[in-house]
Order: sequence, then structure tokens, then C-alpha cells
Amino acid sequence: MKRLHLLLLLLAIALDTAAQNGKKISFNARAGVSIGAAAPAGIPASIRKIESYKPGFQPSLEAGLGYRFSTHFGFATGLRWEQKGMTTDARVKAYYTTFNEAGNDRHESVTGYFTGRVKTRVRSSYLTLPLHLTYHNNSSFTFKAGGFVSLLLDNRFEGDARDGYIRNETPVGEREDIDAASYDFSEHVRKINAGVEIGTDYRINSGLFASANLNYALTPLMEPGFRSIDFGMHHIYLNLGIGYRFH
Amino acid sequence: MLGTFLTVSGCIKPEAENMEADILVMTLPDSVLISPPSITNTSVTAFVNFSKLNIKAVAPQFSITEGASIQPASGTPQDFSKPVIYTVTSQDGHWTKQYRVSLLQNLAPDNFMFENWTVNPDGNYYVPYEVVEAEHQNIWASGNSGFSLIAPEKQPEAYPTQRSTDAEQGQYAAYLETKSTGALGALVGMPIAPGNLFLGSFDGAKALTAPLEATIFGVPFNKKPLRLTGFYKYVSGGPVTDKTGKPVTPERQDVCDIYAVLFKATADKPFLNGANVLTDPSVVAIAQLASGTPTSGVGYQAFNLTFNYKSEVNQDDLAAFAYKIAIVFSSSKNGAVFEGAVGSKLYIDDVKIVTQ
Repeated sequence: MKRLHLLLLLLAIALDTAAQNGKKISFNARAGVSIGAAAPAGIPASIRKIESYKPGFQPSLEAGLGYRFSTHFGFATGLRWEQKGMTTDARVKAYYTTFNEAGNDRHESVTGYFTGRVKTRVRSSYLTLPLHLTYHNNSSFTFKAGGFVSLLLDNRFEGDARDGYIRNETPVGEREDIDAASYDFSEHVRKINAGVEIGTDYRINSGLFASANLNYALTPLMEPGFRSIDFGMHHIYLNLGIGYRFH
Repeated sequence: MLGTFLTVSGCIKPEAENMEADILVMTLPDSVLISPPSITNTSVTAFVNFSKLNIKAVAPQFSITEGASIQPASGTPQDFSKPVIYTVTSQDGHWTKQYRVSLLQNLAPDNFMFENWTVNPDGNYYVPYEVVEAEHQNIWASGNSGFSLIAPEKQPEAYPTQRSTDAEQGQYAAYLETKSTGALGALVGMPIAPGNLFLGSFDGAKALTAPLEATIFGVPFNKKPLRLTGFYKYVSGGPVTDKTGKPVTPERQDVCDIYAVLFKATADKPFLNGANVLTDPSVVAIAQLASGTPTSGVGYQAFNLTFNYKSEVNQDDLAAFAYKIAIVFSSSKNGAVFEGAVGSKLYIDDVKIVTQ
């Protein structure tokens, strides 16, 4: 976090210097909450029903920098600390997975096809660098489209399975009833996440603005080679926030 | 975006076709069956009354996983003078499983030399079988299939129940060793797996949720047993640990267990299990090793255990296969509740049931 403070300070100084040179550069600070999921592109057939979905409280804080290079267009960047997460409870049928103990290597685990209930808890915090092209017109809205790169700071990807059974290795392997078994894939979450983002800011007054951003990670959530869940998952989140623009 | 998510979550795909290929039930006329069939992941075994059927043309009915198919077809006559291989194909057509279906005409033998061993294809572990008038009888079972799921090892020699060339007679003896189940076993409250071997079957599906009920005891027996004799050698692994892996207090040394139980089976309770084998009202007689402390020296020691009868045996029922016998060996006496010492070793050979 010390490093983050230093970066913010440098950004503020840069802004201060730039601000002296005209009105092209603006600085803003924004706080928001995210709601979304680490979701497969299409829900695989092995997931039969989503019994519950809880977005949880996923805050974000951002220090932003805008640069207008023409009447209508500009760039926006910044530094964002954000948390992405959710808790889901699903009914699955023949869902390929691994049960292990937290921190275990994969040699001490059961892998196979699980039928029953699976709870998944995801919470990742990232330091994100967004880069947007911005469009400004005479309305109160600013439109943004671009991408982001995120560095994983802290992470949890875990869950448990219950009320079901697993078939060892293949769908015709030994059947084992499961009352409760847990898994922890936290170590297999990618350290770098990148994707696309679109959004809009709505100016409330000269300083305050409300914003909405939709971001979708193009990189899968899990590391390459991760096989314990046989479908790719991507972060997809809507961030709603309030910001203040310093002129 | 929430809308997007909800839309995505709303898009539950149509249920995929089943991938499993299980035989769930095998049905034969009641008059033919001596005892309900025991079904594992790859085998079906039933004792049948050979005087009531033509073994060369028996037509068992199978109920299988929904949508799956079975070859040869359910209800078609097959020659069961030796085991028949049935192949079940899953509904989606991608998975098949072979079952070895045995109809045993002969009753279980009353002497056990532990010379014949086969490797179970599911878990790559040894299982002894008996040969009675050229008929292979897979009547012995162990907890190995449970161990195969939670322990990483996949070599036959790594399992708690296996064979040994250190034999009292012949080439092999049964060898039972209490093993650690590793981190995953500890996680599910099963830090150890005792070596066990018993007459009956093992319901692997219950291994993690109801381990005492996973050991299903008993094979039909139509003679009145008087004594259980044999040879054993026991090395204790030391102080007993409990299901959390901690030493029990007061400290005690691990001991082995050898016993045989004669019980009167009923339609409601055709078998006993680890929870009731010594205590159920249907138990008629028990022969049990008094003390499972280590044997002295390096050689085998004889045991000769008398069946203590709690009630009389009805000769007519005995002749009608109403009784069953279970013989149980364990390298840790309380291993069924996951108390024992890793490294306890029990060798068993040349076991006989002396009958009237």
C-alpha cells in the first residue's frame, strides 16, 4: 500500500504541473462497488440450477487522470484498487472438479465427476490500470471505452461440495458419496488479468459525477493448465460509483 | 450488467445425457437367490440355489442408469457356469463399463489358504478369491476401494490390504497393514486406514460418509461352525491415535482383531455391517481372539477360537441357507472408527472353519 500512496502522490504532482498548462488535463477520485461474477462464457450443461447468488460487498477506489486532445475526444487512465467477487451455490450434475485441502498439491486430492451441490466463493483484489478513449459531447454524459490490466494483490477461490457423490476420475469410476468436501483453488488464479471496459460518467455538478463501468476480463480467471474445473471462467463486473473531478 | 448476469444464469442448458453406466439392481426369482446380490462398481455376485435353476440358462434382469444400455440384454438367458461379462454403455454413448457377473452355485469354502489373488481394475489393489470346484468366488472384501479414493498411492503394495510371500503355508498369506491416508484423509476425519479383510463386500460409495456401513459382512453358510483356526503374526505400530490423528489418552498400544460371526439373516437385514456385526440380535455365535497383542518371535502363531453360541442353531434353517458367516481380520482393532497406529502389521494364513 505504501507504493500505492507514492504513485498517487506522483500522479497528483503530475496533474498539478499539467493543470498549470491549461484545462486539457483533469484529475478525479472515485469510489464504487462492483457486482458481477466469475462466470463461464455460457453456463455449462453440468450446472443444472443456480440456487443462490450473492454479489457481496466489492468496493473499489480509483484515482483517475483525463486528457482531452480534441473537442470531443480524450484519454483517461488512472490507478484503481478493486475487489471482485461473489458467492454462488449451484446444483450440478457430472461436474468435473477436484476436492483438495487448502494449500495441498494435487497429489492428495480426489478428482472426478461430482453430482450434488457446489458452493463457490471468489474474492480477488487487484491493482488495476485502466486506459480509455473518452467521448465528450454537450450533454452531461461522458462515454468511455477501452481496456484494463490488473495485478492480483490478494485472492481467495474456494468452496465446498455437499449432498452428492463423486465418480473417481471418470463418469464410470468408483462412486463415493460426499456429505461435505472442500476445495481451494486460490493458488491457481492468474496473477495478471486483462480485459475490456466500457462506461459512462454522468456529471451531477461541476465536481461530482456518477459513473457506471462494465468490464469483462479477456484472460481466463484461472492459470493456463488448470484442469480442475473444465470450463473457462472470466470476471464480468459492473462497477457503480461516485466521483469528484478536480479542475 | 446485473441483467446480463441474470440472463446468463437464466441460460441453463438442457440437461446433458447421463454419462454414468451403473448396474443398480440385479433381479432373479426369490426362490433362486440364497442371498441378495452384492454389487460393486465392476462386479455383481450372488449365491444361488443350484437345485432351483439351470445354470447354463439363467436370465437375470438388470436395472441400470437411466438411458444406459446393457449387453447382453437384460432378461436374456446366459450360461453362468462361469462369470458372464456384461457391458453397460452410458446414455450419451461415450462411457462404457464392464461388469463381471457371477452366480455362485457352491457355498463358500470352510478353509482359506490365501493363495489366489487378483488385482481389482478400479483401484489397482489386490483381492483374494477362492476357488470351489473350479468356480471363482470373490467373497473376500477389504476397505482398499475407500483407500484408493483418498490416498494418492496407486501401487498394489501401497494399499492396507495386500498379499505377502511371508507365508505359513503355500506361496502367499494375507497381509494387512494400517496406513496413513495423508492430508485428505485427515481432512475427512479418517487419518488412518486399517488393513482389513472380511467375508462380504465393501460399499465404496459409503466409505467417506458412513464407513461403518461400508463394510458389509456375511456369506451364506449351511454348517454349524465350532471353531475358527489359523495362523497369524502381528506387529503393533505402537501408540494408538484417534480420528483427529492425535494419540489417545491414556496411551495404549495398537492391537489386532480376528473374529468370526454366525448370524441369522432376514429379508430385512440380509447382512451385518461394521456398526452391528458383534452386537446385532441376529448374531448367533461369535469366535474372537481374546487379545490382539503382538505375537512373539518372528514366526507365525496358531489361533484356535471357539464359537460361543448365544442361541441354538435351527438345523432346518441352516440347511435352507438362512445363516451367514463373517470372518473379519483387522490390523487395528478399532480401525473401523479410525483409531489405530500406522505401521501395525497383521499376517494371516491357513484359516479354517471347523464345523460340526
